[in-house]
Amino acid sequence: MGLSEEFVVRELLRNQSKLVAFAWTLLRDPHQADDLFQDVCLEAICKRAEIHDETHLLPWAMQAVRFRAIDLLRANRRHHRILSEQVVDRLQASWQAVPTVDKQRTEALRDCVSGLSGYAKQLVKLRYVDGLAGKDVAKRLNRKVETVYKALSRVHKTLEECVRRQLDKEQTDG
Amino acid sequence: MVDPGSRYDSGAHFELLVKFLDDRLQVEELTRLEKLLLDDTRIVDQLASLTVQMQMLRGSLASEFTAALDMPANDPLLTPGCDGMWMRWWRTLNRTVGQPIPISLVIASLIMSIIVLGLASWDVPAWRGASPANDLPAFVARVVRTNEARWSDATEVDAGRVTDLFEGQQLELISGLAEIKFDEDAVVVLEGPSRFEIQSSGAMRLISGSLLGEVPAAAVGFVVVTPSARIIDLGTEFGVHVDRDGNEEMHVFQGSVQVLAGEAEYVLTSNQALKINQSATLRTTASSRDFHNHGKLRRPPAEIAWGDPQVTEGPQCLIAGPVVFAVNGGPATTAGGIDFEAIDLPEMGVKSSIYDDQPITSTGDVGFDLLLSTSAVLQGEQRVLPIRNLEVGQRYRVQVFYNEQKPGPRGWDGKRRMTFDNDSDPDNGNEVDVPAGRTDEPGPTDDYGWHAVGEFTAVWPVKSLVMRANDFANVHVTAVLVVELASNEDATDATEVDSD
Repeated sequence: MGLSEEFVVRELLRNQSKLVAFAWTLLRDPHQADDLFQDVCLEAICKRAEIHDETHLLPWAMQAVRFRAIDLLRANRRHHRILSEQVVDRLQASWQAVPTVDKQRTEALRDCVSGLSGYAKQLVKLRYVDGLAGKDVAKRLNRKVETVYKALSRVHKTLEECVRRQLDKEQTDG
Repeated sequence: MVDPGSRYDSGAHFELLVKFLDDRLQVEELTRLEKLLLDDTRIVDQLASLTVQMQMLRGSLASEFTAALDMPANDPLLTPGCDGMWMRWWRTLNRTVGQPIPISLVIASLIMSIIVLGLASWDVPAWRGASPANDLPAFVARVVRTNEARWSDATEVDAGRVTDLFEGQQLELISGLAEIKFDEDAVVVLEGPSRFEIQSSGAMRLISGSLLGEVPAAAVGFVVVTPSARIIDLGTEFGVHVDRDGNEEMHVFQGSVQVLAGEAEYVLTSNQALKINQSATLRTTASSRDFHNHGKLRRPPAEIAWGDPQVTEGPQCLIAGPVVFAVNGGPATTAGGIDFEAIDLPEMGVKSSIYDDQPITSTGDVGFDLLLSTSAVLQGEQRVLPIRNLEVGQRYRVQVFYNEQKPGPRGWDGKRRMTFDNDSDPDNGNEVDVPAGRTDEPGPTDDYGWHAVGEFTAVWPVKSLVMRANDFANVHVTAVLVVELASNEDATDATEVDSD
């Protein structure tokens, strides 16, 4: 007996950040990654009868993301942007082990973002909320593109360290 | 000795990964990243974690940013983020499957995701009410290296570690050296005792003390503010000294700077200096040797002890050790397992192919063949190649390759020779002449040209390798390799090996 539609939807939703992120890594385009995720979800629902084991849903979805991403890059004549098979194997294995985004992680990130400086928040807003590309963020802020990427890198590093500290603290306190 | 731990720089990987996810890497950079991903699982994990974080920011949390940034909130089902995407997905499903999917199922799933992901808390106070005390400052520069640096107690620099510096941060270096890299790529080396303030990603204030600034073309416009002047870098290497009595000196070693002092404006070019004291402003000129002797601003260049030039026979000639700098005069290549970057210098002419019509036997390493069969032609009889990423006090071995396959000004009997020098003085005996090879010469072959090996101890994070063409018009660079010497490695042995 295949998986229920409800289970497929729930599980894919639960792993949405992870799957879109994996697609993003392969495509280097978050918007295409969104679309690809929708396609994979649709395919999962349509083919749910063929996925017999609940534990196989996520690996199946990861594999589907991989195949579709490579097809898309080929179709868009971006062959030269396809990562080597060896690298994709390693990424896929690592992504599968990434913990599902849970409430604690979300709250930790939210708290950490709230602690960012005004400039850092502005960068994050322009880049992620407004969806501007790095070069457009640079134009908007009248800064060099390289400077914007350096600053964004710092923001992400700061956030990652902050989230890790918060989760460690919760673990210790809990 | 360099402080332990000062070489770790995870920030560099973050930048590479952020650019990668924006599809901004060149093919060479992408290849480098792929190698890193295969070699180091920590970077794979870092990429996974970073991408998920970005996805959370743009998807799940985007609507909460709206609240935090006092923006009007949009209907979550119509915004192009995560939630709106599900609405579109539902519509797509209906279109594709050809029969209505119960929206209740999608909404139920959405509610479940909101509960699971903790997104129902639109009014979480921590998000909206960030107190200034909790603000993470805007980092714009970082201490990347130190050498016996001692900071004042009030200075928040983690000794021996890469430390991010923020706008407005004041620092006091009591003694030693500290190298600071700004986000706009200017590099400044401070020498204690110095007091200074980071003003932005492209500006700093020197309250007192000495600094050496290196500003690449990309960072032109870097500003150093002193008590009496504003120094605007026009792409150069310069020094500034401010003593405790308010006397100031600006020295330009290469390139030019603009100095605004009160109503006056000066433009200093190579080997010019400006002194400002309380009573007068005096512009002076002096030779670079005088600057070397100045001591406060510039130390004598690191001496390179060269071994005799040797015939290049194959990749086995490449020196061994941790690689800190490797450039090829032609395209990027991997030779003898070492990745050589394509050289990139201003006023660089053609990258020539040495064996145009003279195919030669392969050395057995196609990457090494490419290394030897291409060279960069740099305009001028003397040029400087900056060797970067050095640690002050560390010993290095440098190897220079020259292959030309052309007769010299007096025919084949006087082969072309390139001189590689420690400094710009051609007469002080610190140089080595490396001959070009020739393919038509009978006897012992030098089809692959010649090379020489030298050793030096870094006194600044950058070492200038001076290259001179002897009796021909332009400087030719085949390849340059620099490796780190282990502290217990006998320097003399290395020279002897190459002299055999």
